[in-house]
Amino acid sequence: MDRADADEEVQFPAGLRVLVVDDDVTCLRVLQAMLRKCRYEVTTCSQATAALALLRESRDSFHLVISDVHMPDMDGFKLLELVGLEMDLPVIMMSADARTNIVMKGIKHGACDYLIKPVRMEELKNIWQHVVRKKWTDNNRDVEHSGSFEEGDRTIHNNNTNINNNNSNKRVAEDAEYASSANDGGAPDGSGGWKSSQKKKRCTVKEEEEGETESADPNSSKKPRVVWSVELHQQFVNAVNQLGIEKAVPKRILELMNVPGLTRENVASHLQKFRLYLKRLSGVTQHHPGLPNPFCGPVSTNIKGGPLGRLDFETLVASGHIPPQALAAFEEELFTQNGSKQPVREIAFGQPLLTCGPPTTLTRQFPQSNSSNITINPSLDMPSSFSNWPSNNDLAQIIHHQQQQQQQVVGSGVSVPQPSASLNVQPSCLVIPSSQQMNTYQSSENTILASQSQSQGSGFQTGRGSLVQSPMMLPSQSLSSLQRVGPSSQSYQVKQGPSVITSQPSISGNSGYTNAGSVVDYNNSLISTQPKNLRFGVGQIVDEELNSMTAVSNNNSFSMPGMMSGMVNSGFGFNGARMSDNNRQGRRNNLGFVGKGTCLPSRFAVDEIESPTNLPNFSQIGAGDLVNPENFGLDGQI
Amino acid sequence: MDYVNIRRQAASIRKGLFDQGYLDEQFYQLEDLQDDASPNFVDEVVTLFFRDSLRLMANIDQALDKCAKDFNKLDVYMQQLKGSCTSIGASKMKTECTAFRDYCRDENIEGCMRSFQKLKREHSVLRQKLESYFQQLRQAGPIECATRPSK
Repeated sequence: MDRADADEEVQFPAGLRVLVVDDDVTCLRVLQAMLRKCRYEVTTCSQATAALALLRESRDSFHLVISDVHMPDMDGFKLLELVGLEMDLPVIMMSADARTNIVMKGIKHGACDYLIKPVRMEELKNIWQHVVRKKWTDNNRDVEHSGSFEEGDRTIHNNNTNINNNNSNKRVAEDAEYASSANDGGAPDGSGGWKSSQKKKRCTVKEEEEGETESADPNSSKKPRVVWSVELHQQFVNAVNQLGIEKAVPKRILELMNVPGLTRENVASHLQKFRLYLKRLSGVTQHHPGLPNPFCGPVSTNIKGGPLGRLDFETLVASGHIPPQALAAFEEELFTQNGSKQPVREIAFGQPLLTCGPPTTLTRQFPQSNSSNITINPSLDMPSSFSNWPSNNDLAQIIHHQQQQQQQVVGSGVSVPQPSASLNVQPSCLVIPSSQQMNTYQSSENTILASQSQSQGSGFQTGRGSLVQSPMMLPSQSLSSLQRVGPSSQSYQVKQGPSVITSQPSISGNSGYTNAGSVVDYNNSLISTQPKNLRFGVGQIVDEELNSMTAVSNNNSFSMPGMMSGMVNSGFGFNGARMSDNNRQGRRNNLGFVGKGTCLPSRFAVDEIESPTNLPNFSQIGAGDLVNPENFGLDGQI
Repeated sequence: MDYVNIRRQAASIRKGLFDQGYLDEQFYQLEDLQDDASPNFVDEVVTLFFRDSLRLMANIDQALDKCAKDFNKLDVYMQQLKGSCTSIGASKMKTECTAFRDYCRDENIEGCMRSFQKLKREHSVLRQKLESYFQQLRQAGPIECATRPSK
């Protein structure tokens, strides 16, 4: 309608959600006032680690990040890179330091702009352009990519050559979902302008994506998206291990994998993400030595050490998706280079796995909290046996318990953003009614899904994909609030996740995990090449059998909003992919585990459910949407 | 109370601050941000600044005492302080911060110390003036906030 359009125009770009990170409280205050005057929604954060946790927790909460260059707890450039890789959000750097070399450094690390302090109102008024530009560029890229191999190759090539270039990393060729999610962003909240413009883009892209995903024929004109399931990824990893990470080239990997329908481009793209992931691991490790995870009590920090270390793998192994030997081998390979530092370090997805219920095992799952992450492992002491879904009351108690734990844990030295950090974070916990299995990787395949199905009563949403809607999800309200936690704990392990999802008893829940598992590993390193939620670019093939929620669904299985995203995203995110009908729910999260980001806080999922505004509602997403997890809010949210 | 006079005094202090280079353009931006929704915005930010800068300067003091040779650390602290100064438009302080950092770069510890003393004085003077300015404003009443004179 004209009227509506007019309203949109008037509003746009009001409502832009900006996260400002600066250790200088004076500057923060001034910027906050300025941004508010621009009618943007501002969140300030005086600690980079807190900001990262917040972003991980709910990637879709923000459209744009403004960060200072020099901060005591984390280098601004590092934050820039991480945000770019994991969340694929535009980042503007700012500093009183106007030296050309520093500005250049910012550009190289992928900043979409560099402001010199003192920042003036006029400069801030225009920051919205970066958000829009990025989305459009991503969309176009995806569109192009899907159309031709050449484009994809070029993109991949670019990515390979500009490892540190957030922008190109983000543009993984196959990351169509990302594009679509990027488009999303218009949740029906008040900012009509953003939403509608976002939606339009999303629709367009989605159509294309859907078309692609539907087609499983790699030789069709539209490139189908490859879903990097756990199995597939495992094959990939095996191939890489066999060749040696240094010598692993896409062609050879492809040959070794011997997967029909898989193209060299798919592998190349995946490899790139994987490399980034490894790089992150090593880079981050050095920068922020992983803190022992207080949360993960019994969990050894070393991935190899325990199943816990790597949640994802554990889960995956548990669920049978990854043979234990392979997992071990993989981890060995993966982390050897990094001196077996817990990759999690970076990832600390915000969402602490708030496992409802039995979760003792949960603790294991929590990745080590990195120094850079404020992870709170809420569920250290979850009851061990979860036979049935806890009632809401129980959940609430659990959450509360977890929160308490978190609080305690937090106090144990992990740098947790304090309220004074001008960030109001609540322990983010994924409240997932997930069955305990979810948490423990040992759990049987059923893990989450299964349990979920059992707990149907709990309000899980068994409907197809509508994770979000599952009442179980903890009263989504509470869930979301839980997730709000800033220092999201490592919960990225959300694996617990599936809770929400699909009622399908199919274990796919596991898959969720499995994916998560795999994801986790990768995720830790923030490899998330795809900033978006997992958009693994690889495309997600809707997998019919996904119902069983095999790993692919990582996302799906987690109804936990946070989980999915967190989980999947965190790592490589390749798990997202398979979106089967069952997994619809998951889709959001994890397609592709492309490292994106780690942690999509379950909160996110919840939020989505809860507030249609900020994310494309799951409910709004049709079956077709499932295919693209990105559609779920996470991405598009902007 | 003679509001007119009080306001005049406030305006005069303010003008002096600009003329003498204590404050620069950035301060105008702060004033622009003040509105009905945040009627004491400038005062709040300035207060925040002085509190935070005291903390930073204490850090620098300590660093100069304990590890006087750690120029990197001193530079980092001073960079933080400089950032704060630019945010409110504390021009003279900003200049002195830059001078300090130059001394750091040259690894001239005496220069650093001298510069730091000067910085502390500037800080003190600015605080005094701004405090009296805001005090006048408060007395003068809400009508006339720090409105920017026609430039």
